[in-house]
Amino acid sequence: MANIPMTPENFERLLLCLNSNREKAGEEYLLLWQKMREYFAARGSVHPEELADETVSRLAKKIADGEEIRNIYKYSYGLARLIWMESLRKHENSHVSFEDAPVLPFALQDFLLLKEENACYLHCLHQLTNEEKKLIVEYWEQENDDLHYEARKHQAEKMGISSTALRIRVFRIRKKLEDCLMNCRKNGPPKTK
Amino acid sequence: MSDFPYNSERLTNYLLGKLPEPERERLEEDYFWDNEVFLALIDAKDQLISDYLNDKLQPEDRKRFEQHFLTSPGRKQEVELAASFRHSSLKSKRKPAVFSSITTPSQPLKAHGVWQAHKPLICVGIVILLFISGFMAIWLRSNSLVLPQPVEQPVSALSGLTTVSLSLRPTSLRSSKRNTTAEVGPETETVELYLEVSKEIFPTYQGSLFIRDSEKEEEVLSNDSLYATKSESGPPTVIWKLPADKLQVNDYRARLNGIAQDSAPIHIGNYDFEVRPPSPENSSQGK
Repeated sequence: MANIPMTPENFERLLLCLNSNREKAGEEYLLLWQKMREYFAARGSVHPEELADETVSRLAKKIADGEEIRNIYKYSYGLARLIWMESLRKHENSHVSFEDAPVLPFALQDFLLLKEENACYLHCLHQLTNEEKKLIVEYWEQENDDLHYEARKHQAEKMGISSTALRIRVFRIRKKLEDCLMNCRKNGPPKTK
Repeated sequence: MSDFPYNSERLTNYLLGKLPEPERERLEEDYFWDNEVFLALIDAKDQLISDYLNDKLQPEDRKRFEQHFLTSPGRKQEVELAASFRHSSLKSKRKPAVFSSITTPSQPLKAHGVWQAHKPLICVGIVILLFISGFMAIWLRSNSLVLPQPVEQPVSALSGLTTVSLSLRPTSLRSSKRNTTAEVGPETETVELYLEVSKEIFPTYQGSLFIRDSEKEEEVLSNDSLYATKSESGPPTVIWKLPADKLQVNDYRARLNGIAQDSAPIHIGNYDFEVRPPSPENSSQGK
């Protein structure tokens, strides 16, 4: 649904608007994108990632166009709401009768497909560094009945980083895996010799 | 950033779609503005996923989780990944409760969107989990991380085909060439219905199965946690896995309704099919 492409120039301006420190701006950007995704998912969107992409692209365009934005986070929320309303309207207009719908070629789910799916998981897990892999496994490790809230706090303390920094690292790993899986499912796993 | 009090119930209610609209909007505005609130929301989400995988959710919340929370392939994938990472880190004494509900995983499955059947999400999630766990065990071992738990199930054990599949269009549009007969033998465990729907994709679908032509229309099976899978080359399909032991030699009608967010079910179509014993031709070939 990305109607407005994100250009490198617009992206740079957006980062600058989020924080003058580039590294922190990157973290803020990631958090903002995640917030949008959660927002659209909570609203019941089937493709929250696409809507989040569209929202950040439009936000970046607004900034590049010189629109005065006093509070980028509140503005982003307003923009996300607008895009959600637009998507609902678009959804309403996209009803197609069965007569107009093309026939779906029948494909049995077979073992090859399953094998390919697993190959994708394996391939994507290999893309993680040892450190990333250790972090994400520990993140989901739950001793006894610890709440995630407390467990994450302990993990962050153990690593000597803030809870926010821990979550951002986990976001990055998840995103990396999700992007890899999406790409692999679309194009198939890379051929191995 | 404000000192946000951790309020798991409010955040969980938001994720399950239980908050009233004004409170929902207030929370959304809060987490856009305040990173601490957002991170607390992520914690609540992770907790919810864990509770789901550990079978700790109340039946009503479990239903809401499947119907409201798992509306996108991304979230389903998130749960799959969480399940795989959790599983690889679990100590041998502690298995998720849901594991006990799976005895013989035997159905081949597809990437995403296949979360139905009798206990839809659990079954598919666990089958995927078993596969991933197997691969992860090898992978983590090869990368010097010791897994505390052995692989649950060899991959080869899942390759047996005990599933009969039918691709169906609504009765009003049915093509005469299309096969609508499911040949169910003693080895058949599942009859998979691929129900074509229009381009309109609802977050969830509700299926009801009836015996056709019976004087009194009696529901044989129902499932209100069905999902559509997208296809690049055609309309989306809702896949409904029916346990073969619930079916008899008879003529059936599957009725499909789309469930929009916060609104009444919308009728999508009726899909007729027949269940028959395997023909001698197929039986002799071992089909």
